[in-house]
Amino acid sequence: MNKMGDSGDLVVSGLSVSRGGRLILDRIDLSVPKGTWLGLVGPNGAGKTTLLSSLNGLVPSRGSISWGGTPLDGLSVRKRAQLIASVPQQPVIPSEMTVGDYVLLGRTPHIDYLGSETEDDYAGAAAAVTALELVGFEQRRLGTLSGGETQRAILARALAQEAPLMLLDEPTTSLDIGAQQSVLELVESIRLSRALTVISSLHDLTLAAQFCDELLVLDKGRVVARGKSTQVLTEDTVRTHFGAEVDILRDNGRITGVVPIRR
Amino acid sequence: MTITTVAEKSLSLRSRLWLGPILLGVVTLVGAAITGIVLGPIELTTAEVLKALVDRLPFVEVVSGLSDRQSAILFQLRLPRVVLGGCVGAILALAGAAYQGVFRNPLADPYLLGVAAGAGLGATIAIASGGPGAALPIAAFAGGVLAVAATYLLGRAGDRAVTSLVLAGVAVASFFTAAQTYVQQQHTEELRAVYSWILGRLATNGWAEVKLILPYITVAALVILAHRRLLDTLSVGEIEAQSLGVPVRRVRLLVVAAATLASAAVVAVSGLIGFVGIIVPHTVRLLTGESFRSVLPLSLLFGASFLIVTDLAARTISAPAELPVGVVTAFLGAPFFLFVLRRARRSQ
Repeated sequence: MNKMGDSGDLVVSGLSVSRGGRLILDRIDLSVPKGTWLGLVGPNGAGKTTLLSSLNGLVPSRGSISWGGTPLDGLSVRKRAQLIASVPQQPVIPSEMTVGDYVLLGRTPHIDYLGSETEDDYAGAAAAVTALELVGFEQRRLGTLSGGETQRAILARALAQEAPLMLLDEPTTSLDIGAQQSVLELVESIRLSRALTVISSLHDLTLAAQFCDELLVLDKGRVVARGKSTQVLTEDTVRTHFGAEVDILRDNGRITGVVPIRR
Repeated sequence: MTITTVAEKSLSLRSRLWLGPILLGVVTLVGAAITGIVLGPIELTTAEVLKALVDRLPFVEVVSGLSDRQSAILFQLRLPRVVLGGCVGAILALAGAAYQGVFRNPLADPYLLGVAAGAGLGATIAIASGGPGAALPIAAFAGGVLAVAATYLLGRAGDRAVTSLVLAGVAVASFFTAAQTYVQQQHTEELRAVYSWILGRLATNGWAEVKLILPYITVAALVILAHRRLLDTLSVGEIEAQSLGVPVRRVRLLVVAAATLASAAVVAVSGLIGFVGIIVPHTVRLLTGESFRSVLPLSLLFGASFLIVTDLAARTISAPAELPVGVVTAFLGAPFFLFVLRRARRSQ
């Protein structure tokens, strides 16, 4: 179903972004194998959101980004949207729009400029509705949904794009702990069933350690660590880059919790 | 039946939901048009009018029973006036809905954005300088573009509240109206007619006005209607629309240009008729929801009916004198504007 870059790794080299003379991202090099879930962690202002936006082509950047060998900067916005689906931290929610219409917006990159939806698009949107457990919600207005349901609708829209790379900026903020867990579990299951590459920033280090294949620690616009969560997340790393005193709980070689300690 | 087909059915249902309202819109328009034609100081009956219209069709001969004088009233006064009113109302409502989508602002309207005033200045300059008649819509369009650009730039510089765009529109409209008044004062002789034109009027004689605007409004309406799906994608904001693959700038440019061209053309023949672009699209939204796929075609239909009916009111309320139709729409529109403003504030 994916139109291009089917056997794609994401390769980023020398990616820099500056804003108002200040360097926000400083020569990021990154290679993400297809099907990986990469978690971006780091303190506030580390550049996580900027990295996601520049991958998405929404902020001007230097350096190069390619998918399966195809450089992204030459692509039209539509071609890029066929490759990358993205969920911003605070999406604009048109509260009067129905869930069905909203998910269908995800089909936009597959529809010609003045065209309209085909049966394929309805089927794609319906599959996304089903995958995010929203069957029965199609005619509900977005304004009437709970936080967790809204987040699922947003993910369904992104999934309907059928793009091989999904960027999620803090997909669990403003959700309660149960909704956080179920949203991340849904991301995990659609990632596995569709072999998606997922790059997400996550504030919660415990969830990041449990769900992501690999973590990338950003601080002041630079990559300071990269690897399996067990290697990357240490008491020292958290102290140095987050200025926090934590206990990292491990069980059978897996991280089960990152717990702050009162000083 | 699998779960997927249930979801699919319920998703594709959406596109058929507004066929009923479209039918209602057509019926309303036919009713409004017939009423607008029949009523007036010289009574015509519906049967006579229909027969006379059918008689005009090729290869059909029907005796309508209308006298020559009645026939002239029908074909040279009533019918062109109703058709012009329909065109102007349809375009003002459609342009209002289109501006609301592009600017993501429920208070956008050709009148409130200053487009009408800008087009008015352009048209006044064209008349005052004694240019050819064909220059009128072009001058009006140039004025309208200038005004909408100024309003957008000024409104964006303010805070992001919906009202800042309208405040900018008020400032721009005042400026253009002042400039227009100045031009008028300099050319009182040529421009006596302009005074009544400022209040908005549909008094016509024959088909000249309809013929003048028809090419512009047809093209512009087609461009706007063709963008109905893309206007829906803009409801998630510029950034997300772009990451969905929408060329946001191109969509905005084309829709604003089309809405401005169409508004300028109708302003050039009908003067400043306000609030149609607020009243009609918002009423339609209450009926069928927010999607531009239903809001745009329905605004076109109900906008036509609305102005035909308000024009009928304007020429009958204090008959034999005639109120400018812009006075009637403002009378209805100003309270409606406050209603929409309150709703917008609450949802922000």
